[in-house]
Formats: sequence, structure tokens, C-alpha cells
Amino acid sequence: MKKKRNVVTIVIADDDAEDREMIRKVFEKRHLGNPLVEVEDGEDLMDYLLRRHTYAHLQSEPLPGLILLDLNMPRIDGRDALKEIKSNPKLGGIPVVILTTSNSEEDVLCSYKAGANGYIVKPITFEGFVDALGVVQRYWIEIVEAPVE
Amino acid sequence: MDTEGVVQAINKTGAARLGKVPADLIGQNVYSLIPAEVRTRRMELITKCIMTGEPVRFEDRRGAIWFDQVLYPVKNESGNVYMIAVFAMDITDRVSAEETMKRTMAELGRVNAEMRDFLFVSSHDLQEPLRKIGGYIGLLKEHLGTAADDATRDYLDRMLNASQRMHGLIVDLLELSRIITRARPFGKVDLGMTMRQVIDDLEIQVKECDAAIEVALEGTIEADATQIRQLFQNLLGNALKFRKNDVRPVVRVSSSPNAVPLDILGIHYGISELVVIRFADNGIGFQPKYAEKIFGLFQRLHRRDQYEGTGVGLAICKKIAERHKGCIIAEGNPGEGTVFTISLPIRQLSKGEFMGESD
Repeated sequence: MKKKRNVVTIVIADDDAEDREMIRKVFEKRHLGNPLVEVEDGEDLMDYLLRRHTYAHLQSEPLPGLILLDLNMPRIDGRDALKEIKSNPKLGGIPVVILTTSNSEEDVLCSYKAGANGYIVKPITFEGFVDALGVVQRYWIEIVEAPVE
Repeated sequence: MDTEGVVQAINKTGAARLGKVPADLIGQNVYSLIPAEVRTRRMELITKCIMTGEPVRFEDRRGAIWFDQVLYPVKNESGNVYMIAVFAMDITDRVSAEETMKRTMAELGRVNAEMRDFLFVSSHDLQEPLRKIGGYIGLLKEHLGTAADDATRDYLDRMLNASQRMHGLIVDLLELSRIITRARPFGKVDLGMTMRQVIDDLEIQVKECDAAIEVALEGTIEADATQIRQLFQNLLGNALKFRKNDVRPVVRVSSSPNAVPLDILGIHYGISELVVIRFADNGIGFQPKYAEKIFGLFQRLHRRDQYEGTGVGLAICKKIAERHKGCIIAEGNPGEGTVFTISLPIRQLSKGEFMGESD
């Protein structure tokens, strides 16, 4: 039987602990019940998604239903992680929404070309975050049908 | 000298340059007098003069001294070159001035590039902590909830406003730096069509204040289309913003090719033809003493509660005009409207043409 979208795990991939906190607070405020997983860079994200190294014990757990992906991160950055996710047959269906400070046309274009499902420039106020992530939550978690494992 | 290089006559200055007096040199061969390292080249130049029968001009360095030299063919009755007159002028001062200028230009270019990077990187990186301030003020408000009294809320709102204003400044600063860092190559730009696009873009503002915009723009220039659009947009936006409260705003945008006042033309060089574009409005105008100041970065003539804005718009206009080797001036009087005059080259000369070089 198909799993319900509203219990899928959401992954926050961002090297900035304060931004991760901000995102967590926004979802708290919006009473989002979905489990949140935080990873600090692209390598950490790929380890989590591929259930390897420190995440090997999650082998039998379902894959996340949404990834919020920062672009500028150490080790493997968001651009490379996005390409790896979208070219992997097992992971390619997971919606990825870019959440970054970069508003460069090139980043926007390249992200969509690489298969990003959305692109949001990090808002400058808490209210802005609440608005933007509210739309993400409503659209990707509550409305849209996405492939689920 | 004759075609073999034997000196026939020489003046005192010429001889002194070789450390001799004229009498010592007459009858000697120039090839034995000039340094070995320039001998081959000199022989080629002299041969060229003899073969072509045309003067040959070249620059020659002797120690620390530079000469502008001309080999002038002297022909006999049958038109053959049988003598060569050599003229040499000391141009050391000119050459060293040129070299100093080249070095200064290179240094300037480097400093400019550094400034651009600095501006771009700093404005980009300044946004990050600012975003955090804004975010945490919001979180603090959430956290305090109803526990915050009116004064606390007021202070927090002011902090939030200030951080948002700074965000606006940084965004504008970034845009200014992009005039150079994101510059696109020049192409054909239709002035009238560009203006129509800008009026479409500003439709809401135009309707809001019921402005009449009269456009008599003609012609095509070689320019960066995005930047010309931004220039027009800033100027029209300016005209609408600084309108009189009780008068219907009228903005006249016109162009006149080639009708260039000399004092404007005077500050350009290497420019063939200019188009002069005028933005004239019936707005609040300004005091003439601020005519230059208004193009300065972050310069404003009004309090923030009267007219919003960061004071970057006209600085961007000036940067755009300058990047196109043009210029922009403002004229006006309080209560009598403002006229912006922009002169832009119709054709952008290549670097070679600009420097007056043929190759």
C-alpha cells in the first residue's frame, strides 16, 4: 500500500547550523509533524541517502520524501550532490528544493537543468522563511503526489 | 649619406651624439659608427628606403635616449635614390611619459579590477550576517509572543527595519558592481523599442500617478541592451517618483543625433558620433548646486520618509553612461522639473581605433 505523503522524512542539507535551526523553528511554528533530518554537507547527504558509513543502520528505513538543499557547502557542494541524486535511479524521484543565499541566474538555471524541483532564495526575515517554507510544506508535503518507495 | 652609408654631411648635434665633431665623421661609414646590435635592422631600413623611394620613419634608442628618426630618400634626375637624408629628433621625454602612462594605466586597471572584486565579494558576504540578524529578530518576536510590551515590540521593529534597509543598500550596491562584473558585449540597441519596454515594465507606477509619457526616441546605438534598459528605467522611475503632488506628471523623452554641445563633446575623445537623449519632467526639480552630487553613491536630497530609496539609482545611471564612453548631466531648479541629458556614442570604437592606432 502507498505510504501517506504527510509522514515522509524531510532532509535539511545545510552547512549553516543557524539556518538549519531557523528552518526547524519554521516547521515547528507550522506544526509540521514530519520527521526532520539534518545533514551538514553534500557528502553527509549522500551517505545518508545511500545508507552508508554512519547511516548504514538505516538500511531498511524508507527514503526521505523531500530534500531542502543548500548550494554552497564544503566537501561535496549542493550542485554536485544534486547531480548525483538526480542521476541515481533509486534517488532521482525524490523532490529536491534548492534553498540557498545565491540568487545568481547561473545557479538557478543550472539547478533546474540538473533536475531541481524548485529554487528558493533564503528570505531575509523569519516571516519570509515562514512564508516560503509554508508554501513548500503545503505543496510538496500536503498536495503533490510524489513517487514513494 | 650615400646609399652605401658613407656620411656626406652632418650637423654638430648629430655628430655630438656620436661623441664626435662633424669633420671627424664625413667620409666615414655609418654602419661602423652605430652599435652592432642595431646594425642589421638599420641596414634593412635603409635598404627599404632605397628600394621603395619612400621615407622610412622609426624610433631608435641610444642608451637612455630615444630618437624619432626619418630616412628621407634624395633622388637624382632619373628618379633613383642616390642619397639619404637622416633626421633624428630626441623624443626621450615623450617616450618616458608614454611609458609612465602605460604603467599608470595598467596599475589603474589592476586597482579597478580589485575594487570590483572587493565590492562584489563584500556586498555578497555582508548579506549573510544581515540575514541572520533579520531572522533572529523575527525568532525573538515569536519567542516573546504576548510577553513583549509595546516598547519591546517597537524596538524590535526598528531593528528589523534597519536591517532590511541595509539589505536594500547591499542589494543596490551589488547591482552597481554588476554594471562592470556582469557587463555584456555591445550589440545593436533600438532606443525607441527599449523605451517602450521600460514603459511596459513600469506600467503600474505610470498608471498609479496618471503620468503622461511622450516618447520621441529614434535610432539604434551600439550598446549593452540590458544596461540601456536599466538606464531608462532608473530615469523614468526617478521622474515618476519625484513628481509634484498636485500636478499630472509629464515626462518627455527625446533624442537628437549629432546635435552635440561642444562642452559635452570636449570630454570625449576617439568618438565618432553621439546621440543625445533627454529625459525632461515637470516634477519637483532640485537645487542646481546638487547637479553633480546626485550622481554620487548613496546621495539623497530628501528624507527617507518623504521619498524612499537608497541613493544608488543615479549612480548606476552614471556608471552605465561611462561604461559606454558617454556621459550624463542633470539640470533643474526647485519646482521647475528636471532634465537629464545623456550622450552616448552611436558606435563603440574598438580599442585600436580608440587609441588612434591603425593595426
